[in-house]
Amino acid sequence: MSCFRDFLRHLRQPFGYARSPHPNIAGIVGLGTAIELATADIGGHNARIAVLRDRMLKGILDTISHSRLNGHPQKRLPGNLNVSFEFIEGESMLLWLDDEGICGSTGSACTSGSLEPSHVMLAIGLPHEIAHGSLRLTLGDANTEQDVDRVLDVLPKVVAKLRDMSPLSHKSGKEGGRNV
Amino acid sequence: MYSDKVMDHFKNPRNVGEIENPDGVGEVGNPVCGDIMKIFITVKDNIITDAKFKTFGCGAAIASSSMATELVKGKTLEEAWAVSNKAVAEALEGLPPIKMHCSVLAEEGIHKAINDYRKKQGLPQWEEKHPHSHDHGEEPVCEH
Repeated sequence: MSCFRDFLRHLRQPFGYARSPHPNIAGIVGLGTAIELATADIGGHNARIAVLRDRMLKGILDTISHSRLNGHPQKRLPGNLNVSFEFIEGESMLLWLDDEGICGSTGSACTSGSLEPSHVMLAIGLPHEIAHGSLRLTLGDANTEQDVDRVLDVLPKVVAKLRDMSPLSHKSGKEGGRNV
Repeated sequence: MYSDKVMDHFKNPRNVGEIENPDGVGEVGNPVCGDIMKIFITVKDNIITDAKFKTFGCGAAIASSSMATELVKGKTLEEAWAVSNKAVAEALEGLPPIKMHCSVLAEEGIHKAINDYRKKQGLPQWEEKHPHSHDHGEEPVCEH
């Protein structure tokens, strides 16, 4: 009972005369349940997503030339994939992917509100032009193998379409700049 | 964030490609800044009879290249030179403020292509507004 009294006292509002507020019981129970669900099988959850992520990575690197993984192959969040494609810019990739119902993100300047690409991409050693061509895709529990297959079907076409109109394509002999 | 017109020119760009043996070529931008435009023109009797582009860049850069090449086709060199970045942006029903530099690149690309033609013809160069912006130097400045 003393615990409950302390609880009420600590929730007291200013001025002394106002009643103690009602704690958000539903919110507290909901948060507790959400944490339970999220952590109940965290190892299995991570392993499942990592399998999908690795499948997506392999598919991308196998089918799209001049592509690369950004960051460490294993030491990363299980659902996180970040890749770069030479000769193209990230925002134009996102616009086409969005059109196909695929959500992603890029380190290109064009989405940052400035003209500088992601400082993280630069900090891990990518030259500016490769940072501009980065794409981040993240997977969660709701994603399936079909989702990964769909990305692997759509993404190579998007990259090819943009490379076709790029003055930097490998056909022109310009290999996308320095340090590549 | 983009107008319907920008999305139309991004998804169905007009005049993509290269012209074989062009009369003038203009390349502006820098991969470091995330945008490069290469504009090709064919000129007959002082009129731009064909214009094509290749662009590395965002949606606005691709749409600006597409619109700029559309706007200069059929124009005299003097008329084409007068096509401003504002005209390109207006024809696209507006660009977000951060993307206005894409329309500036398009204007500069056209100017460079025209001056390249004039140079080949032994004609004096017309004065460009930003002759050194987005140049391919050691330390490019990404701004407009």
